[in-house]
Amino acid sequence: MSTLAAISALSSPTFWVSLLTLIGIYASVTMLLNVESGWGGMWDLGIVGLLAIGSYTYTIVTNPPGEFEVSYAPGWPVWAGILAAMLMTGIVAFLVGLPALRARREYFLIITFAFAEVFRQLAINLGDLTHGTVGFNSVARPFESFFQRDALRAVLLVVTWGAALLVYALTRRISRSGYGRALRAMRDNEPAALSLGIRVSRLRLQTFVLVGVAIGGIAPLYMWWLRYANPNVFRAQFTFTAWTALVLGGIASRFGPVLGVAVLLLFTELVELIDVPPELRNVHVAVHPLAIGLLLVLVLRFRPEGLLSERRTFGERARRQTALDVAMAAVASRLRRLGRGDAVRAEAL
Amino acid sequence: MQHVIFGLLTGGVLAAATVGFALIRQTENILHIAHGQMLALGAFLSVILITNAGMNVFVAGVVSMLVMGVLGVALGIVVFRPVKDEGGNVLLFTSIGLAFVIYGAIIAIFGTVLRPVPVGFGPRIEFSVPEFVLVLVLAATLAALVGWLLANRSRRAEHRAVVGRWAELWAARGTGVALGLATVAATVLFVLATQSDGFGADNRALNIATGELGMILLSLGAVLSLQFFLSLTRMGRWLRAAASNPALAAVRGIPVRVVSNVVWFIGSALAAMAGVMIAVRRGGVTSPLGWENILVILSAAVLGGTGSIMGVMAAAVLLGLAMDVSALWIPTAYRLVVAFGALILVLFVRPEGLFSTRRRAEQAA
Repeated sequence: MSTLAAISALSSPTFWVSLLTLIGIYASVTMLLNVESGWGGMWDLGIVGLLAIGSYTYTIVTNPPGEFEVSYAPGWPVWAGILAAMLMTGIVAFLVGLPALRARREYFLIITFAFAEVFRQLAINLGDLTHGTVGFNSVARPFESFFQRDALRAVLLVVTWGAALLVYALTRRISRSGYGRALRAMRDNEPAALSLGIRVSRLRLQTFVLVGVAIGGIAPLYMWWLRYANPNVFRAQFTFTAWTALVLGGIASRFGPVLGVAVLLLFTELVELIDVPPELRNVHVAVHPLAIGLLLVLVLRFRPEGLLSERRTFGERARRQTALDVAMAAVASRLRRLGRGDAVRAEAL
Repeated sequence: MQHVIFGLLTGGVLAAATVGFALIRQTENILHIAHGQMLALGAFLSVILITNAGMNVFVAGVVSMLVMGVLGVALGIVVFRPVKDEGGNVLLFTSIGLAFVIYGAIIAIFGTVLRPVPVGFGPRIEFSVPEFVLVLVLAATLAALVGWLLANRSRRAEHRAVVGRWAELWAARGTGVALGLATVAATVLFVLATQSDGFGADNRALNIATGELGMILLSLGAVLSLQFFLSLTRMGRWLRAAASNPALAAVRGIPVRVVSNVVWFIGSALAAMAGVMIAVRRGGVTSPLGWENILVILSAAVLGGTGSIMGVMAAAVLLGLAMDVSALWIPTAYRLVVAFGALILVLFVRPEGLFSTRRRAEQAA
C-alpha cells in the first residue's frame, strides 16, 4: 500500500514541480552563501536570519489590510513587496555587517549565528507586526488572477529557476572578474591583499550587503513556495541544510552549490515519501537532520573539497612542489607521528 | 530580587557545561557545537533512567555523566581525530554535522514530545537580602584565601607558576580591570534590583530550594575540582601543556592521545551534568534542548575567554545573572537576546574575553 502511494506521488507532476521549485530556491541561497563564505571567506552561519527578514518584510507589506490582526499592513503589490524585501534585507545586512565583520572569523560565525536567532526571537515577540508565533498563513503571490493552482505552481517554478539562473550568472560574472579575484585574495592572504591595495573591510561589507540584498530577493520566492510564514520556519536547520549542500557540492566551486542542493534535497524529500507506520514516525522526522549531519561529517572526512572542487572551477594547476614544500611535508608527517603518542620513536629521531 | 537567585542558578548550572566546552575549545581547538547535543542527550538519558528505571536523581545523573563521558571519548576518536589536522573550519563543521546526527538520533529514539521529570526540590530556605550579601562576601573571601594558600604552599616551581594562575586571575592587569568592571556591573544590577523590589533587613524576601542550592554547589564543586585537577595533578599539567603547545608536548613525551581522551571524557561528562540539572530544574525535556542551550554556552565561553577555567565559570554565572535580572525590565522572552547583546558588546570592547590572561587582542583574520 505504501509503495503504491510512493509511486503515485513520484509520478505526480505536482510533487516534482514543488520539489524542483524548492531546489531552485535553495540553490540560489547556497550559491549566494558560496559567494560570501566560499570566495569571501566570511563563514556566515546566520543566513536564515536574512531570509527571515526578507520573507517577513515581503509578507508584511503585501498582505491585504485587515486579513490579520497586525498594526501595519499596507497591502502593496507583489513587485513592491519584492523591492521592499530586498531593500530591508540589505539594510539589515549592512547594520549587522558593520560591527560583525570587524571580528575574527570564529567570532563572526558566532555573531551571525546569534543574530539569526535574535531575528527569530524578534519575530516571535513583535506580535503587532509579525503576528507572533502564529504567523501568517497566506501569502500574496503574483499572477494569481491569471493562473490557478497547478498552472500557477508551474509558472512560479519557471520564475524561481529564472531567478536561480540570474544568481548563477551573477556568481559566474563575479568569479571571472577582478571582484572575484579580490575576494579570493582577501580570503587566502589578507595582508597580501591589503598590500595590493584591496580595501578589505570595504570589500567584505560590500559583499555581505550584496548577498543580503540578493537573499532579500529570493525570500519572496520562498514565501510563494511555502505559502506561510511563522518563526518556526526560520530555524538553524535551514542554514545548515544550505551549508551541507555547499560542503557536499564543493565550497568555492561555481556549480557545486547547485549540485549539492540537488543531491541533498532529492535524497531527503524522496525519503519523506516513504510511508511509515506510526512506530517509526520519529525516525522519519529524524531523517532530515540525520542526513545533513552524516553527510557533513562524511564529506569533510573523506572529500573535504566536495564533489566539484574550486580548482576545477578556476582551472588552477597544482603548484609544483619546491624543496621547501618537501621538507615541510616531512616535518609535518614526523610531528603527526609523534602526535600519535609514539614517544619512543621521538627519541629515535 | 529573587531574580538574582534565579540568575545564579541559571549561571551556575550552565557553568559546568561552559567549562567543558571551554576545555574542549582550548585543548582540541574545536568550537564544539555538538556539546549542546551532548547536554541534551545526557538530559534525556537521565530522564529515562529516572522515570523508567526508577533511579534516584543523583544516581541517574552520575550514570548519565559516565555514559556520556565514554560516548564523548568514542566520538572524539572516531569522528574528530581523523580530521584533527585539517584546520578549524573543518573541525567546526564536523562538530555541527555531529550535532545534527545526535539531534536526529534524539528525535528518532525519544521523539519530539515533552517528557516530564518528577523530581522534588526539597524545602525552600528563606533568607533576607543582607544574609545573602553576607554569604556572598564570605564565599568570595574563602575563595581568595584558598587561592592564596594554594599559590604559596606549592613548593614545586611549576606548580606555583601555574596554580599562581589563580592569583594571576586577580593580578593580571587586564583581567583585574575586567573583574573590577564585572563586580561594578553586578553591584549596580544588585542595587537596581533591590530598588525595584524593596529592601528589607528583616524581610525574608529571598528564597531558594534545597535542591536548587544543591545544584549550584554541585556545579561549583565540579568546576573547582577541575581547576584543582588541572593545577595540581600530573595529568592536569599534561592537559595544560597539550592545550598550549601540542607539538612541543608530544616531543616532551606527553601522551597526547590519552590527554585528548581525558579532555573528551571530562567535557562530555560536564555537559551531561548540566543537562541533567537543566532537565530537573525545568521539570521536563524536549528535543530542541541542545540547540536552545548551545548559543548561551557559546556566548559564555567566548565571554570568559581563553586562559582560565575560573574565568569561564565566572563568565557563565555573570551571563546567567544578566539574563535573569534583565527580566525585571525586559520581557522574559528576550532572555536570549540579552545574552547575545552581552556577548556582542564584550566582543567589541574586549575581544579576547573578559577573563583572558592573554593580552593580545584578537584581530580580524
